[in-house]
Amino acid sequence: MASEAYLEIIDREGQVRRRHEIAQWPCRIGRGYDQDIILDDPHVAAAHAVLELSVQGEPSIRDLGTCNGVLRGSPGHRFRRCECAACGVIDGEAVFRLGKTTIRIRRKDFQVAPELPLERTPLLRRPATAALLYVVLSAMAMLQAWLAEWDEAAGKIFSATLGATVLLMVWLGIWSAVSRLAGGAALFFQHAIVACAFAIVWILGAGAIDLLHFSFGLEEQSWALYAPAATLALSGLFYAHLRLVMRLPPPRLLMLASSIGLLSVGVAVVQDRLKKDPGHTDFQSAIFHSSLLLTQGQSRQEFIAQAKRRLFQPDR
Amino acid sequence: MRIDRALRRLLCIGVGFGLGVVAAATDAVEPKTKTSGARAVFVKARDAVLQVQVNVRGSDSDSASSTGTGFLVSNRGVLISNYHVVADYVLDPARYRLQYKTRDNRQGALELVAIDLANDLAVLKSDLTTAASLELDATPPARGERGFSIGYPLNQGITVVEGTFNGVSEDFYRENFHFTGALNPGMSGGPVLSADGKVFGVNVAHQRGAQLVSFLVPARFAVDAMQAFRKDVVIPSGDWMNTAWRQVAQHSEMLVRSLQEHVWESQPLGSFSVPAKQAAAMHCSQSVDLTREEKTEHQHLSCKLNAGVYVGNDIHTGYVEFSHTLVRNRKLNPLHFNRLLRNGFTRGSTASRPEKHYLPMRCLDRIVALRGVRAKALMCAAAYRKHPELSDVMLRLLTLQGGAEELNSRLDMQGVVAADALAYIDRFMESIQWQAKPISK
Repeated sequence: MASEAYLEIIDREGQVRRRHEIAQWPCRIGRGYDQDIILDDPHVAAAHAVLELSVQGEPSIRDLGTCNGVLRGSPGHRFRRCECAACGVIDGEAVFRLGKTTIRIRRKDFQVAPELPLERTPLLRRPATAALLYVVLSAMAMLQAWLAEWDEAAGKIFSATLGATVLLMVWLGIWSAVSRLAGGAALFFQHAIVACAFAIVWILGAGAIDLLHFSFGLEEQSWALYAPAATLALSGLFYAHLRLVMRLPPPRLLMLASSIGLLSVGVAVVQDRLKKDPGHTDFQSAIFHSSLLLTQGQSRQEFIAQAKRRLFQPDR
Repeated sequence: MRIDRALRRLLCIGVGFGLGVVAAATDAVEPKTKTSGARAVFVKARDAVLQVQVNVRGSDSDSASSTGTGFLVSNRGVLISNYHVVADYVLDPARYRLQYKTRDNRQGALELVAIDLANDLAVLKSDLTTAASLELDATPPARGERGFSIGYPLNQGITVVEGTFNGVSEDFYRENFHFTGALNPGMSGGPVLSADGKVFGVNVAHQRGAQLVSFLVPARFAVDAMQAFRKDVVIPSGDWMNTAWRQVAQHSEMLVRSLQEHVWESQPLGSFSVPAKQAAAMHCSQSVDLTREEKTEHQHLSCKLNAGVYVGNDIHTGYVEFSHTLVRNRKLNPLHFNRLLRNGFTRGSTASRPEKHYLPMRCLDRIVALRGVRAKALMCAAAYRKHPELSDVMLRLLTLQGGAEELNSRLDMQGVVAADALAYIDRFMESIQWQAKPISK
């Protein structure tokens, strides 16, 4: 007998886990072995619900008086328990929850979306992009090493690049492993693109903040500038990595990623503030060429007055 | 036993050991030869010279934590020693106690009755009422006269050292006598007598890494300390630590204010004009060095005023020093030259200070307009935990002139009050100037 419809079991990420044929109406659903479709969920009753055709010929679901009932939801909405044992008409988009199992019923005549045309792999997923970003990142590490050590720089440059590469590989190894464990592919190159892009943005961003601080003679303490920027960058990093690992809806993913970003920066700032070493200080040591200096600088008197307020006030 | 880590700059005990002992006479070995100058002075003074010991409370009276020397100046048992000999007791009277030991091993308690940190003197009282006492002579002998220093160096027992009086040392802000004789750890606080048996100085320090260069506190300061004590007949039972810090504050206040009264010589350094020697006691030196392959040239001018005060173990304060380095780019590209300047600017700027003595350091960095040139300025201050009105203050300046020459100036002041430090720094910064045309080649 040809199937009438399909009952699909949906996972937390909205994907179909299993698909059962509904051969005839009514169709009984429950945990018991006498049911048409058996759900292995301890929160589902032995005979939980029945799928049947209404007088108009539309499928509907009816709770068989269970303690947990049948809950109806639709994409983006919370589940609500169906009133009067009936959940109304099933339209193919609606999802139902029986116990802790989420199901969806689609008839054979359900209209699926048109096929997606085949595309070339997007730029942001290609190994070549990862390689290019890695080269840029290495070049930046080399430049930094060269700036710091101009006498016999070759060894320092080599070790700086090697250090950055090892760190990157360890990070990528972790994320690829997590991707694999989460049930998908390792996505090594995509993780590599994320990590390299982050490192480049991080280095450029830190340089830009230093330059901004210097050029305008900003008075904020350096951590006040770094902390928000670092939070933003770290949240972006974790968002991009997590998006490759799990299929949570974007708002929840964003929340998760920004909490991780906020937490890591928060911990770093608190740790920094709590440091008791009297030798510890917070000042901006970056100095650039004077042509990049856009401020006239404060007067000597103003500097002395600020020092008096900030360094000697007895609020210790 | 830690022997009087006193004699401040000495510490090279191993080298000094045994070198200075001219005569270590005891009653057991009486020489039969005719008494020499040293012998005569020693015989006259030996009963008035005691070992001063700082002991941990509750410990055996034979196990001193540190030792020095003291000498009786009145028949009521009053004796003079160095402040640094009794500093442990002053800073922590709950943990330490003071006692004396005579050369025939009699012991007794000592009571502190006056301190003078600036001159490194302490006045103590003992129960030795009948003992011989020495006379202080405020008039120093002539340069080249012999002097006889008596004390208890290391573990050698009472010792007399013959040396030469060489007038007032030119190295210190405070008046100190230069004595050419072997002073060793443990002798601090001992008397230095002229041939007529009068005390003209008190052993205080010797120069590390030098030969027989030693220093004495002039006896007139001991006379002053005694007078101050006599006037203040009621022995202040109190808080010596506070008294000590108050004296440090007074010292630094006087020091900075007296410096402020001096005209600051300005000196050309490349295209800059910088503040240089300011007072007679300030020592300045200049040097030039080239980095490898002559990529950059560094021209240094540094000045230091030796006005240090010893407060306690690892708390030396009261110094003022500054330096200017003209960094000239010869072959470096601008990026590397910038990095070189940046590294030089922060180097040693926030040297870690012992947490038990200092509150956390605070810093302020700004771009400041100096005369003719803008500069990156960094000022940091670390206040003393026990006396937060006093701080160590440091200033770093790096000019941002943009050419092949930049000036890196640094100023360090220790144990100063905020207002004095800021006034001094203001003047220091005011004295730095850049002119388009080089002032000198």
